[in-house]
Amino acid sequence: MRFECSRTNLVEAINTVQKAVSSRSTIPILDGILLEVTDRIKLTGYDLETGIESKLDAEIYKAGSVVIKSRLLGDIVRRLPEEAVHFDKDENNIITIESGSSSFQLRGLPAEDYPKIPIVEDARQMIVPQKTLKEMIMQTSFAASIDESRPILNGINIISEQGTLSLVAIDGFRLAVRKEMIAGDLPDSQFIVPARTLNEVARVLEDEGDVNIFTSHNHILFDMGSVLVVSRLIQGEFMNYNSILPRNHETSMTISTRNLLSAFERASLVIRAEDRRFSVTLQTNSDDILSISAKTDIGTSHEELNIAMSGKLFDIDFNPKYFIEALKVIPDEEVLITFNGSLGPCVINPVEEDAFSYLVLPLRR
Amino acid sequence: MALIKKLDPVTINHIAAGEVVERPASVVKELIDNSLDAGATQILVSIRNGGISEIEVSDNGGGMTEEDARHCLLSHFTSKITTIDDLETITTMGFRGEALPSIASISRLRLRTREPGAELGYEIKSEGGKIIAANPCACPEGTVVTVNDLFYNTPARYKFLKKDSLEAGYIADIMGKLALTRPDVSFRLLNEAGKSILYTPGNNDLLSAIYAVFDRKTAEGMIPFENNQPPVLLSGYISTPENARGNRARQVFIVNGRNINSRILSVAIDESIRGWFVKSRFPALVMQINIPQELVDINVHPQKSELRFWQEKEVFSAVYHTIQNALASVSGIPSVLEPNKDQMQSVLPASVGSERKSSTSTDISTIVVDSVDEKEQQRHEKLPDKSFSSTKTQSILFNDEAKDKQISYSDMLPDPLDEYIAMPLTRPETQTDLPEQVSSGQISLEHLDITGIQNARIIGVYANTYILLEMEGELVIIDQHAAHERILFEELLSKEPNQERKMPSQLLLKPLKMKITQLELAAVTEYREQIVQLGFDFEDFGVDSIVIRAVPEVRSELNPELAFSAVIEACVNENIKFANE
Ligand SMILES: Nc1ncnc2c1ncn2[C@@H]1O[C@H](COP(=O)(O)OP(=O)(O)O)[C@@H](O)[C@H]1O
Ligand SMILES: [Mg+2]
Repeated sequence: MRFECSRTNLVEAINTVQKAVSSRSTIPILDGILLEVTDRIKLTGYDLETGIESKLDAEIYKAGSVVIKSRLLGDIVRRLPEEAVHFDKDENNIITIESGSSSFQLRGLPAEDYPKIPIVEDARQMIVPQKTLKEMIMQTSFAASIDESRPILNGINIISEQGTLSLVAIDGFRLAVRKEMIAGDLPDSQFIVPARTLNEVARVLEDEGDVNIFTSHNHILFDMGSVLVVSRLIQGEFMNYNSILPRNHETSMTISTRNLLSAFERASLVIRAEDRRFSVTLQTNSDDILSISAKTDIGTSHEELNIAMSGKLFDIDFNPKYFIEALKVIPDEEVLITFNGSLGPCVINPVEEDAFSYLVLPLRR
Repeated sequence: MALIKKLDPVTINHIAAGEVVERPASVVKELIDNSLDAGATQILVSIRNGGISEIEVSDNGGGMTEEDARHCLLSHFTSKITTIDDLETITTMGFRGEALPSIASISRLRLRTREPGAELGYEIKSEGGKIIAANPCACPEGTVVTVNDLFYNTPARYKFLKKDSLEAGYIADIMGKLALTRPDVSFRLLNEAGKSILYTPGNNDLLSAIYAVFDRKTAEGMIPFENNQPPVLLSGYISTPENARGNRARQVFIVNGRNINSRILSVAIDESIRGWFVKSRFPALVMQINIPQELVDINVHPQKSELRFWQEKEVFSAVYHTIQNALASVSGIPSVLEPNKDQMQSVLPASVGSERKSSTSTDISTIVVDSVDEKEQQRHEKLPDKSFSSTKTQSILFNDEAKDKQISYSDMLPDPLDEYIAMPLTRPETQTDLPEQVSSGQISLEHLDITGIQNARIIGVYANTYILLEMEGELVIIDQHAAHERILFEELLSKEPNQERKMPSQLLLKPLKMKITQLELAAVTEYREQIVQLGFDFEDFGVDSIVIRAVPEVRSELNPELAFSAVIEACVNENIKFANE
């Protein structure tokens, strides 16, 4: 195996596949990146749950393959002095990396021992614009649970139904849904993908081009051209979000997204991160002013924002984190928020469209 | 100057009673043991006021002669052993001859007994251990023991009794466990209203007994297991992950016919279910273990519930493999980790076995350093001051009972390569086997005396799951996830008692239904006010479930069910001290 490539491209590929390399595996070879050289170079990281492949062009002198410790490879390549990087491997899996006047020799592991990334067979295919998918992931994945004892909620439910693609995340206290009409034919199906994987996918997605998504019973594959992400699907039944979203509401108001976000951020300044006894209160005394306040051991905060409200006046406590996280991913200028009293669900939607919905439950005093 | 005196027998029994009889449930246990020893096939227990006013146990066993009946209330009269050598081969539940005298000394007791075929029975009445009447009487074949006014002459003990409903819960719990040890005997428990709280058919079918004691859904979803390889013979049933629970309350171990607790058995189960059960979820399980009598020591505790094995390694490994095989054999179980054995085996390099061995045995420091990345370290460096430093809450949620039970599991592990193939491993970073077995002083958090932990130094976090601490020169490993909910509660519970506001409750998207045992229900009912003060909102849902509507506002990663399980456990074990108590 022998080739020469650009350091910048190689670093980028290493950074991408490293996300799928397990740094604490008890199987030593999984700490490695698989390097395969044919007419291009292919790098693979695989932690047995998520696999990422990245391809790049290079000057190929001799085909071959080897596994190299991921961290070490990354650290070395990032610090190489010149843009041109030269790789060479002998029959004992000793790799020589040269750039400018610096040279490294590393012991590699045999490529045959590296686990094969699952092949997604009998797959259904969907084609989605990369930009759309990226937005959809950004607007939902933050609401997935990170509690490993509830594996289903660690995932995002991807539903395709009658040409509409929906991503749903639920952590037991709140719910985020993002829908999008997709051109072309989209087979009806639904599956649960680890949110962690989708976050990696989002990192790779660009603003142009399409992503090809293939799903089988157990796996999902995202093909973004030079980068490929494969992941295990989470088995089980996801909560039906339609049954959770309320049909009616007692109050509705429109408000500037940015102003509300900043107000929540200011109010939480008087709440110490480790003290969870306190909440932020949203309250109305008339139909055009919303007051946002917090009162804790440290101090108090209070401010008022203009709104347009209809329905009952309200006085409700919320966990500020749940509002802040949602408002951050809404690019629209104004949001429509509906309330159902101090114990009922509160729903946030962008005013212009209903592509995104976010439901959060209040705190009971 | 004769200051030293020999105590009179009544006083001696009175003192002994403190060891044997802690609460009404202990009386029930002792009396049922006696009925079983007498060969009963039907045992009826009825209670009033949680057994405090009255416990009556009637059986259809062999009864007693007039002479035996007169002797049985005297201490160390037993028909079950004569010399110390008999202990080696003991098969009866009792053998010390101290239960009846102890119970008699702290209650008003009436015993009626008739041997099968005898014309007349015999009746004995005692009060505070003094026999006040003894005469022939008419009564059914078998024995009826009626215990009234427990602790009437020991006010200190009486004061510690809980509400009737909780005491009744403890009785139902212990009786259920006894019923599981003897599926060939029919058990019935009646409350004062004549309502049957527990009934097992006694048809010698363990699954029927499980159905009766646990519930239908659990029983139907159970899979059998068996090990016929001496010396550790095993059989029983284990639930699949769908019926997993948040705690180990439904794990019943029966060694040579005796219901026991054993740390080593719990650990063996925890290890064997890894990869099948989500973290911090536990199976319901009834395991019968038969092992040559000389390999166990039951003479450990007067209540005979904690047991010591002489060959722990064999026991551990038999349990471990049997459970793994049982889970693996049922292909329908959706493992949390999607077992993908074929693929894995083919990719495992030949060196895996030996590599693993080296990582499981010694070189802890290297492993730790290698694997803790900076972000994690930062995250967990915040842990100690917050969670371990509060002195006020030392006793909360932790049993300090088991300090002397630390065992080294490092040499009990099955051969590493074996395990690799048997275990569905797809996520090595969370499923590593390193932590629990590395150390010689491993302690799990629930058995940890937290006082020591304040002086502990956090070494690091392994595999994002285990906190490694150095404590008094020993390495201590804590399963962080199991600890997680407890740490949160410790935080909650340590808040100022005079706080003017209760914890705000985060409402759940969907109310969560949770199975709960009778004892657990009684316990959370007893402590309801305090639990609500913590920020939970729950209500009963039928006889065996509750519905959780809200949990304390904590981090979003809080699992409501696990959090509530931690609270339940604390209530049941009474090692919870609420801030406002
Ligand atoms: N239900 C019963 N049926 C027949 N005999 C009994 C019963 N309960 C107690 N006995 C007799 O009374 C004796 C003393 O009982 P106990 O104080 O519990 O001691 P132990 O069970 O340790 O022998 C027993 O050995 C047994 O002979
Ligand atoms: Mg006895």
